[in-house]
Amino acid sequence: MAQILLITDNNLTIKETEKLLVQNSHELITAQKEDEILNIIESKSPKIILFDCDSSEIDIISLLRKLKLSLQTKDICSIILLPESNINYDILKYANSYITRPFNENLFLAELNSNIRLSETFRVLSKNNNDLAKSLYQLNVLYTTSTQLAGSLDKTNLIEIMTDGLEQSLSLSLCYALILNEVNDIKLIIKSLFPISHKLENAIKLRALLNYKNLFSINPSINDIEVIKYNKDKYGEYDLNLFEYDNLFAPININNKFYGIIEVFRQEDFAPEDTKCFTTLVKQVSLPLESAILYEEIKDTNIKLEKLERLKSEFISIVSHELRTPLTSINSALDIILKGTTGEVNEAMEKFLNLAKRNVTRLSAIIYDLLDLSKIEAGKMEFRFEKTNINLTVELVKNALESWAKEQNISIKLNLDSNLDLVYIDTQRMEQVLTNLISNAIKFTKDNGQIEVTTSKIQKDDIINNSFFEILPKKLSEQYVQIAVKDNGIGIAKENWTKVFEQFKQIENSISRKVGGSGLGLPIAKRLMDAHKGFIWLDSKVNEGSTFYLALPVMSEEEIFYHSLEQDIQKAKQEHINIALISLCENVIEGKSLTDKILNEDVIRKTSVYKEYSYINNGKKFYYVYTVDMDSFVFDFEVRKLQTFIKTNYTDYKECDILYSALLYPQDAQDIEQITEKLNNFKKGDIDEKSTDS
Amino acid sequence: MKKVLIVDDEADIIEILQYVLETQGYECITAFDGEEGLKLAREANPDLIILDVMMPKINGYKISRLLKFDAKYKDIPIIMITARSQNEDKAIGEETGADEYITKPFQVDEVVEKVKSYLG
Repeated sequence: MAQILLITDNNLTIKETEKLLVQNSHELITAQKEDEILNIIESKSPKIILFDCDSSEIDIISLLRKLKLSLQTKDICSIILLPESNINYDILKYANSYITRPFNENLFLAELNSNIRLSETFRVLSKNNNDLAKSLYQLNVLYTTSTQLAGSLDKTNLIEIMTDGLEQSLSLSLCYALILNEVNDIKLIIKSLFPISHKLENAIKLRALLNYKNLFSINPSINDIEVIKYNKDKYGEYDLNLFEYDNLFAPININNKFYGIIEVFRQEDFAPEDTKCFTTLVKQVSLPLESAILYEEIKDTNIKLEKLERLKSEFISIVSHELRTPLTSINSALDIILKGTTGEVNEAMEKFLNLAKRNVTRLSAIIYDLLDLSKIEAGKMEFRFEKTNINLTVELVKNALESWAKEQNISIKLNLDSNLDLVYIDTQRMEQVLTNLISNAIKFTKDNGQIEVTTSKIQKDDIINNSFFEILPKKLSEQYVQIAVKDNGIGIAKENWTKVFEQFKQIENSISRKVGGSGLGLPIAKRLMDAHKGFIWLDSKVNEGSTFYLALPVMSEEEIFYHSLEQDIQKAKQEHINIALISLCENVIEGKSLTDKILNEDVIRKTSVYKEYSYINNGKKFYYVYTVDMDSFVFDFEVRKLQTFIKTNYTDYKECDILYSALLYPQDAQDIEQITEKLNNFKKGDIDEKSTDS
Repeated sequence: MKKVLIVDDEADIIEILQYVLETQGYECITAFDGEEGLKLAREANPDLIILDVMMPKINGYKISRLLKFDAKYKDIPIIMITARSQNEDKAIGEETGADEYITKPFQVDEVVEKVKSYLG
């Protein structure tokens, strides 16, 4: 059954219609005047309105228009009753249907019923449509919100993204979130459509604190709360009556621990889908919040560690510098006395003065070692690599130590392979390593001992199969030069083999005290070998002697290029400067090479630190150059100049192009692996696969 | 008698160097900071200057540069005393124009030899 409103001033019409409708169990309401009609529509919401065309009291067209324009009434079905003889087509434009008079009973009912069904179907459809649109909108907001959430690692920001999402998807009047970071860091974020009154703000504070107090692990006071307020619209104000609105509430948990609460208010009641949307959004924020908290912790620890590391390095560096001045004074004073300039020195005096002088020398050696170690650790040690025959270095060190060894009745024998490849080393540093090994051998060998230094070639596999190394670097060179320093001294027990290379972990302090030295020599040697991409290891038998081995890579030009790049990247990181990288490729045509021309004519500008490298593969010549600390403006200019140069020479020199050009800032976490990968990507590639980073 | 100017903020070092050089027959004048050192270098006509690097007011590098780029003083030999390692020295030395470098802790003989090589 349906409610039907009949608009007429004709009693006969009422009677006729009533008879028909009641028989079919519909309810009839009648009205005559416009305000009466509107009242009924509002209070009874009839499904169908029948308009009597002959009604003289009202203007049907204007009423119909009014009904069609209003959101509440536009879906009501209107049917016009009109005489068959006089059809007013103007009216029909605004009506859904019409019934002609005199009524044919069956036709009248059929028309009425079909319209009732139609309007019912329409109502269901439009509701479904509305729900769909709403769900779609909410889904969309959920999606954007979760994307935004994934992009942030700031806690307060995450909460704000969530409240924004809620506001958008649920059209809230007000939304507040109470976040408990720490006891003294409690934030209350209030987002509302209109500004809120002072009373309401306090009421929300109290509500947030008191209602959910049992959830808090801490006991905050109302004054600890920092309020952050946002409102969209300036005009209007919310007061305490906001609490009469419908509300939803949820706790925010992180790792099952209570982190905060969120409550939302809306004038319109929340539907079940809204509740679902609400809980989904609140749940979604938990995970990013967890990561945000973890991230903060890691960041804090990292900053602390970095600071500590820097302090340690600075401390060592300052202490060592400061220690040198008093040491110089002591040493010089001892020298002056020992020389007899100040008066005669007797035997006992000389003995003790010499003792003092020995210890000053030892102390300064320790300071040098400490300084070296701190420099290597801080990545501040500078190397001057060059191609050298290692035999020369070995001979030099042997000559320097020979007289001291002779004093101890120890001989040093050299077995040098005269066909060694050149190694790429900092000779001064390698002298330091060798001096350390040979002087250790002298110190730990008894009278009449013998030390043997042997140089030889070894292969990559010898390193791989060496059981001394548990972890090997990813990239190894094909060939190595090995230097072995063999003594017949006291030897080292196997359990101590790796310990000797660890700093401040001397096996037996008494020995080092007896023989002098800082105990840092081998740890420094290990680090220096690392910097050379080399290896150090040992083999020993207690009371029979030890052999210390060094292996230095025989680097190809390519390896040297990448090795230098790695060194300079480390330096660039320290000094916060850039590295400009350019790689070129051309098809080789006999007798002509544009890359050679580019190099010879200095088309590519280089700074004071640079390295270049080229090779031919498969009929293509590849050329790489990097240069440190280049102005970005100059770099852009250089690249353009280079392009122009290639273009203008293109007729003579076929197919030459820039494969890769980029200004890299290693301090932005670009390390050697990433950069090498970038370069290697173009190594195998063709001219077509070029790329330019900005 | 040849005159040597010693500039160092360490009184002990000055005393030691002064003693050793005076026993070798040189006249010594001394300054305890960079400002005074620069003033004496310009006014007291020293034949050689021994200069510490780390000093208050004006450091040794600066003094060396000021003197070496001044035609009036550029011929006075300068021996620098530094607490840095040799590698670092070489790099800086090329800029400052000092003639010799001695690293702390130094041997007295080393200083005397170097002075002798310039003044005889």
